[in-house]
Amino acid sequence: MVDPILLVLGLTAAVLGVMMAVSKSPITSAFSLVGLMVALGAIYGVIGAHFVAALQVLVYAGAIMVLFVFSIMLLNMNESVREIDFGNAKTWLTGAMCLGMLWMLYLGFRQFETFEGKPPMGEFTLERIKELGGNLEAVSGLLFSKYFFQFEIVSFLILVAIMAALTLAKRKVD
Amino acid sequence: MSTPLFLHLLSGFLFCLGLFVMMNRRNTILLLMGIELMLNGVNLSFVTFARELGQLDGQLQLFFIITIAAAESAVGLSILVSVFRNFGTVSTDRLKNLRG
Repeated sequence: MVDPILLVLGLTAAVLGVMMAVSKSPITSAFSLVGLMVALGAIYGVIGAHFVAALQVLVYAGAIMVLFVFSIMLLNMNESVREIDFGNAKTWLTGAMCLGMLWMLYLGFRQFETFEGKPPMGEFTLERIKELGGNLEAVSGLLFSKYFFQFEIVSFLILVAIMAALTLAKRKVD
Repeated sequence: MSTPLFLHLLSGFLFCLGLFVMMNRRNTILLLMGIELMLNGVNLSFVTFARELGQLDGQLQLFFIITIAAAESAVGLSILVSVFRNFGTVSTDRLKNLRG
């Protein structure tokens, strides 16, 4: 049985996602996406991934969405246009395609529940994480041992992205 | 329905919704938001699998994905600002200079 808290949070996320997809003004879409990300962060917190929950709220709902809202305001997009035309056959076709994909994903995930080649339960069960001193301790232990190289590479990537963003926003291209 | 299946279904729904946004909206900023939505769907799947299989690698992947998503949206939005400055619009209907 699904935990009722997870059910409520999941339905909130789904409804906000649909609102983001169909709303007319970009700013409504952006704020729906903020709500969706906070709901997802809450889901991560409920299922025990506390470090990731904090990151989700700080980086996604905080930093990335501020960037989006800032760009919307900077570009002065206040016109509301109905972009999704429900009288068009193409919209229904793409919608049906997405639903078909979702159905296939559902079949795959349902199959996985009883899959005989499913890998055995790993080292980090909830009890083991509690023994190690919590989710943050366990995650950071792995981050600075097994994934240390990737961590450094990603920091370089961020540096390059900052330079790229600065250069792109500064110069006039024609 | 078990809890992991519900979360997987939610992640699949978010991914498909992001794809739908990508295919149907005209505003480039909404397209970027669609990408973020798809990334979020995949993230949820990673965390659910990590919990289901008793591993932490899924959560660490999510750490890297969030970082890369931040870099991607910073570069994407600066491209968008630059496009807006040069063409005065961000609608994909009117940006057809590369059509030849």
